[in-house]
Amino acid sequence: MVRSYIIYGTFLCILFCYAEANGWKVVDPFGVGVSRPTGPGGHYHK
Amino acid sequence: MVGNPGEPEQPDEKPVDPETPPPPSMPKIRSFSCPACGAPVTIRYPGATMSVVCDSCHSVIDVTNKNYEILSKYFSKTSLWCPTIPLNSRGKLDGKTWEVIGFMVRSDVASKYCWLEYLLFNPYYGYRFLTEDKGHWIFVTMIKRKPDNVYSTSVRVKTPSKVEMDNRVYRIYNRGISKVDYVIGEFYWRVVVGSEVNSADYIDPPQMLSIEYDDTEKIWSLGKHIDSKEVEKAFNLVPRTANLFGFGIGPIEPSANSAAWKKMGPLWALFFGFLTCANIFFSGTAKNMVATEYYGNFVPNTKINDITIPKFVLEKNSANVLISLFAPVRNSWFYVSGEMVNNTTGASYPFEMTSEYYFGTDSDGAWSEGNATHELELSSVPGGEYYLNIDTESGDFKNTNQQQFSIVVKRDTPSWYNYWWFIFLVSLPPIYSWTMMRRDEVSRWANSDFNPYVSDS
Repeated sequence: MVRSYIIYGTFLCILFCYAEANGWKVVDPFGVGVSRPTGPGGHYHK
Repeated sequence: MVGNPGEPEQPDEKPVDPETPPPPSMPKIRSFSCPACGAPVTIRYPGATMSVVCDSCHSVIDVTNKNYEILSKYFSKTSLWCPTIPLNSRGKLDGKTWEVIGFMVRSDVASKYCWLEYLLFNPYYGYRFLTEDKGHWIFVTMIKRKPDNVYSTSVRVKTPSKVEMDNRVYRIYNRGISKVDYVIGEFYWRVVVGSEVNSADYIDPPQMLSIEYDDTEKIWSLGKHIDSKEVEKAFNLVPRTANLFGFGIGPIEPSANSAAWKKMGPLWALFFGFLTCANIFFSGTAKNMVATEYYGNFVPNTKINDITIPKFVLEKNSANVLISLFAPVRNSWFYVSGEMVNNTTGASYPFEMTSEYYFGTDSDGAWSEGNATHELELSSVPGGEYYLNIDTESGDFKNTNQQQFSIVVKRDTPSWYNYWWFIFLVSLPPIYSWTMMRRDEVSRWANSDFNPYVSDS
């Protein structure tokens, strides 16, 4: 488990640097960001 | 967890080449008739044995007495307990060959919790104990040393809460009075069924320090965990399978999860430090350039379609883009939908943005929500010439005079999105490891009166 974590963590560190260097951003991965106006209290405007 | 009143009288440790295990010795067997039932009783190691149990009536006989005095008569002739390792069987443990010469069952007087103990003998190395507790085995050696340090929490309690020996700190696991419930075989002391002794166990997996004491003496022993497979292999036992839930984890059984956690904690700190430093570096070196600024007019509460924002250049091969929208909203909203288009390749990056801001008062006082500025980040946009096509829409404006909104496009901006996601991802295995470690330790201490995972309240 420790060895796997070393590999996994190292991979994440490399991926992070590569992503940052190329402008890859984890932006709203679940698509929950506000797009249409919601109005006060979260009411959706037509 | 051993049950004898002192050091074996003889033989004891003898300097023998550890590389050359002694050949199995041929015991000089002596026999006599049991004074209680007349059945023949055999002593396999006369001279070393002080008491022996009659196989027939289970009376314990003092063999140092010429008349073979009976130390205790066992009340039942039926075998209540059957040793997992048959008496007189031989096996190799800790690099040496041992013969099982005695077996006894002991229990805690208060809780009635019982465990099994085997007395092992090797004519060159003396005696050892092998204890069996719910499928967990401990190889026990009597020691003449005492712990280097003891830590007591109360002067009223004779047994300390922690002891230290050889730079290992052992925490108290159990304390009580141990009673001999059942014996068979032969022993180097006068064992008596029903005899009681004060005892305490201290653990630092995979080792255990145990003490048995009375008003006159204290006897320490050192136990080491032995895997059940090793015992089964040594004595040619039929492998036992754990029940549905397994045997659980023994008092000093090494936990792979605990060992993993000890290593993963520092590793996590290392990765955390690296990601933090890397993010500070990339944020500090981000160019954060303004690619274009657009100011447009709109008539509130109307829609405007097909606004084209003049071309602009995004430098650098690949970087993120931050689009900021500002509109003078006050209890109103302004909405933009559009796309950023590469003038050369035609690649399109659609987006939607809303600027809305509301405020007021109610029974709880003043409130507000939303923001006049809305920012949207686009990931990994290639460099080149771009333009924006947008549609706008607004509503709830009370002032319907023409107003102005702005859109700013920035290139290569510092961002913490990735940082928090990667910290989350790199933390998942340690969280799992910690959970499993804690599960093991809670299980380990479940049978202890000094369980640190249970509060006193």
